[in-house]
Amino acid sequence: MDDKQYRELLVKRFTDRTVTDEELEVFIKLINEGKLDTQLLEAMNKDMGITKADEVNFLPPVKTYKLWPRLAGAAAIMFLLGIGVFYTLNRQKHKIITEDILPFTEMAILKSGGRTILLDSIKSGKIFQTNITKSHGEQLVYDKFFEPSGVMYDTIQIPRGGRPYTVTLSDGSKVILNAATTLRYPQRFSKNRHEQVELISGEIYVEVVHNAEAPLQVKTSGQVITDIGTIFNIAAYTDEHDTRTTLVEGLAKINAAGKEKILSPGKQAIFTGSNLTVETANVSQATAWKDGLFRFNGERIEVVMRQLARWYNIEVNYEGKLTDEVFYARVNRKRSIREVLNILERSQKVKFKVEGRRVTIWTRP
Amino acid sequence: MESSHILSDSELLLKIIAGDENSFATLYDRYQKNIYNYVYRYVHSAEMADDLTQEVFIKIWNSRKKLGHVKSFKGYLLITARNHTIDNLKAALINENAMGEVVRNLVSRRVLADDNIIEKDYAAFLQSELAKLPDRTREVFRLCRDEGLSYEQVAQQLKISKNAVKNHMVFSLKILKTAVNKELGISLVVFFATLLSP
Repeated sequence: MDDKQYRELLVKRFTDRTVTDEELEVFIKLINEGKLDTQLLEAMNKDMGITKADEVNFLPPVKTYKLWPRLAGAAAIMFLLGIGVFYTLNRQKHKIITEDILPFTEMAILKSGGRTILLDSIKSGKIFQTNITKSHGEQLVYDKFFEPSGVMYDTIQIPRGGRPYTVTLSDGSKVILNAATTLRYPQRFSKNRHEQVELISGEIYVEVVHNAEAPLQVKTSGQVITDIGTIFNIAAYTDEHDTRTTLVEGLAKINAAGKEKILSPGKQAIFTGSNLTVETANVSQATAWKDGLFRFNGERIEVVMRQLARWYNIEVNYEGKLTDEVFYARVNRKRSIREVLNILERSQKVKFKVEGRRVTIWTRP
Repeated sequence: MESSHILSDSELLLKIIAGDENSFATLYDRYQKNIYNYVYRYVHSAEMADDLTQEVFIKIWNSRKKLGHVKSFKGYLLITARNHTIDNLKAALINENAMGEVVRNLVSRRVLADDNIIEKDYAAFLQSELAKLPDRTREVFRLCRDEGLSYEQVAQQLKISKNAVKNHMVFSLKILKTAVNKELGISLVVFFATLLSP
């Protein structure tokens, strides 16, 4: 016998469980050195009855495409688009509606005490072995009187294409989560509410139950927002260039990049990762999502598409040069993607094709 | 689902590509035991075999849209399982803690062989390889064999961490939901808790 056959024998004795300690040591040594790859493959092929013909099923994986191409220079030709009217008028003109994607195709996940719970699959009522009650319309409520043995954190994850959830924390503060959002928070706040709520990524709308003695803190990457009697919206998507905190009511303090700013209603803090500035906000635009609307107010196409990508869980592919047009629209988020794209196509500046989960966009000359 | 006739793998595959979870559950039921048995032979740990089997099906479910070219579902499944098993066995044996899971399970269920018939040259081959093994490595091996690290600890060190496995399992559980409700008459949450409890 030569080495190759010994190696075969070694693999056989490993699977038969007849190996001695010494053989096992050699087996581990050789597998780490990559010297048993062929033998393992052959042994498994034989065991499982895999033939050459089966390998044909295995073609190289499909190429993936870059999501966001470079930005083109800005210009501002504007198009005012109405709400649904255009769409209805226009519907008949579209000869081929190839494929379509509806929102809410993906499932929200809650991680609590080492368990992973598929929120969309469970019934209303108290969630088994937790202090959480689920109710109609994607609502979760944390029990005020629950006494956990230590500080325990839960994480809720709304995937791209997932349905927004409203979570009422144990202090009564209400958080609405957009699609593509991950939030971590304590199962129960202590009296001084020093436990942080962390927006890991995504967008939330928060209505804080104010307590001057114990302000609520929300953390995003590199930034801490402290409530001073507040309703605010934070958009901290990883695929956007900045994090935007918009104040609806009350006051809030923002600490980031070594600076501290106080936000008053109607103002928006923009944190770029290295700098923090405050501007006047378009509050209804910033919070339109929680009312079930897309509101585009002079947005470039790539900004529009990033929102659609998160909501419909699509991949966006740009053919040719990006258009410099900006878009104005108000669209119900319950619509299918084709309906939304049709509205954008009314501008006569862009055209879309939907294939599976990929949307390709062309600029019209 | 109508029980008037049993759907073939290819018929089910077409439905799976279109996103039909029930068809996937049917194929899962059809092959899960089989795959588990194959995987188990190579990793010797029931827990690891369970996890890897789940992951194989999850991989397939997640890539369902790219399965248009697949001629034989079974062939595709077996190869996915084979590759996943080899990858993870290798990953496990490179890691001190994970190694313990495989080694201890194997050793505890070892079949006593008649060592006398080991061929002289084979023995010499083993000795020459052992001679190249640093003492430290042999020490690690013995620790792995003897010390009772839990799978939880082991999984922490593994590339496929138990948490990752749990995360992944979410998808399979969505698929299993129907089957569980039908066969066990228990709610998914209870099933979940059972499945994920250490």
